[in-house]
Amino acid sequence: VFLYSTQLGGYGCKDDNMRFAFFSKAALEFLLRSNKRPDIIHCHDWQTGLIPPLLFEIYKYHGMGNQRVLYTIHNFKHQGFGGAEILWATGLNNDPYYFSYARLRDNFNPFVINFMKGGIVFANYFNTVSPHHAWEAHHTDVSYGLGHTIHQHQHKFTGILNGLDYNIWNPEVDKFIPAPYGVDSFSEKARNKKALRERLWLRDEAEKPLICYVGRLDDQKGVHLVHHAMYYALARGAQFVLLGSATESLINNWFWHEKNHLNNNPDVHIELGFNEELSHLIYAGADMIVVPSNFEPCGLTQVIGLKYGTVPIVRGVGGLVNTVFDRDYDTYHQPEERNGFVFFDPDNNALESAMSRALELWYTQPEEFQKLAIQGMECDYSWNGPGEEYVALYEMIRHK
Amino acid sequence: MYIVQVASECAPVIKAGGLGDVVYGLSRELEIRGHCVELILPMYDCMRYDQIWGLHEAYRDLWVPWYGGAIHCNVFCGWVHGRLCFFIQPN
Repeated sequence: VFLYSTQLGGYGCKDDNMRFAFFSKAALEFLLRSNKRPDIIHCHDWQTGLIPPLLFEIYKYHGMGNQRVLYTIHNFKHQGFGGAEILWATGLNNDPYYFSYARLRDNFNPFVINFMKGGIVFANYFNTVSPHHAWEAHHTDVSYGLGHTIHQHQHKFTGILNGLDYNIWNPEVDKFIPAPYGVDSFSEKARNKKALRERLWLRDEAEKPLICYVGRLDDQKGVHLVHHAMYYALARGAQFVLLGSATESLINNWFWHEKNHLNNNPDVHIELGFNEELSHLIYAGADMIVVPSNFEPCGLTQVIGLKYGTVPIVRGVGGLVNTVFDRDYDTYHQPEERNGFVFFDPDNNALESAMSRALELWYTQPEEFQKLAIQGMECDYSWNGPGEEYVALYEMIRHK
Repeated sequence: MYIVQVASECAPVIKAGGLGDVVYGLSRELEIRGHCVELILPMYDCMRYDQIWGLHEAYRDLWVPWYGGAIHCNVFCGWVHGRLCFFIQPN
């Protein structure tokens, strides 16, 4: 019998919360019974938010007193809620104690316990997936009501950027692209652009830049700006390739409509759905990538874009701030460390200002544009740096 | 150090968003740095079983306390591209 089953990778069930509460309990029970005593238990997102409370309120007294927990939050939007039955089921048998504001009770609904809040309160340390998103979660509304809890526990809160697997995402060894290239053979990138145009039936004109978007189509990713970026690119004589999947039917219909509408346009291609192989070719073939997210805990596409010499045009939120540095206006990095274009307001004008700077550079100073792309390729966003940070964090909480 | 990752996803066996990639990538990096890493995941019916090597029963009859009683589980074990994973399956 499979308790954990849905098409979409385990989510979307009505009683998901109870199932993952059970999973958290079972994981600890398994560690206990099989005599595993790790130095660090590292749990992730709301699904495992009850592990820190369960460890320190129950399992600690059964022989797991030396274990330390790091709790990593990848997305504050889904926090995991439940009523008193979660407490009864998992054996946290003291309703008034756990329903206290200082523990598991949701900050805005006094009759509900919040898994993620429990993780924050009880973990030895907790983090989110980029330094700037950590700041945002603490000081703005992107933590969806947990701002005060973070404030109270700020002494054990940090942000660590996610790494990118350069074994998979590396234009020098990529199996999915026709012409591998690197910093020293950047001109080979043009062959991928040609291949991409051929594959998607775009017209092959030398003096047209190619802009892409790869990712989900939803509110978090700033879907209205993605839409605008497409038409702005066309208006400025550029080509646009969109690879994305919509989760909401309204947005899905909207983009199917656009796809049909633009079907005969030789400068744009919309591919709806998920296509790993095509995404490699798009990253390799495009000149620029837009990432106009509303919020972005870390963001992967801009980092992949950088590795493939595809200049990112991003909105300055979350992890995007920590990875992309504006060519013209960044005040913290030397010109030779900058790698893209950044805008801040979530509206069409701001997007256009960044896109027009990028396009202007591509049209009028191609060698400068290429220099910027190569500077992006030279950035290191592998797991090397984050791995070191996580190990340092483990070492610190281990001796607490 | 001995580190256990507990998560709902791990690429490429079960992946809905970026979380799965992070869990796998971090575990791999930690092992390269010489740490011992194990993962605990739920056993989904829709996992990519072709990406798990040597799946076998690792702990039979795990009774997990639940609502004053207990629920019977089995724990399976296998390698996902070199990472040692335990999959918990409730009955």
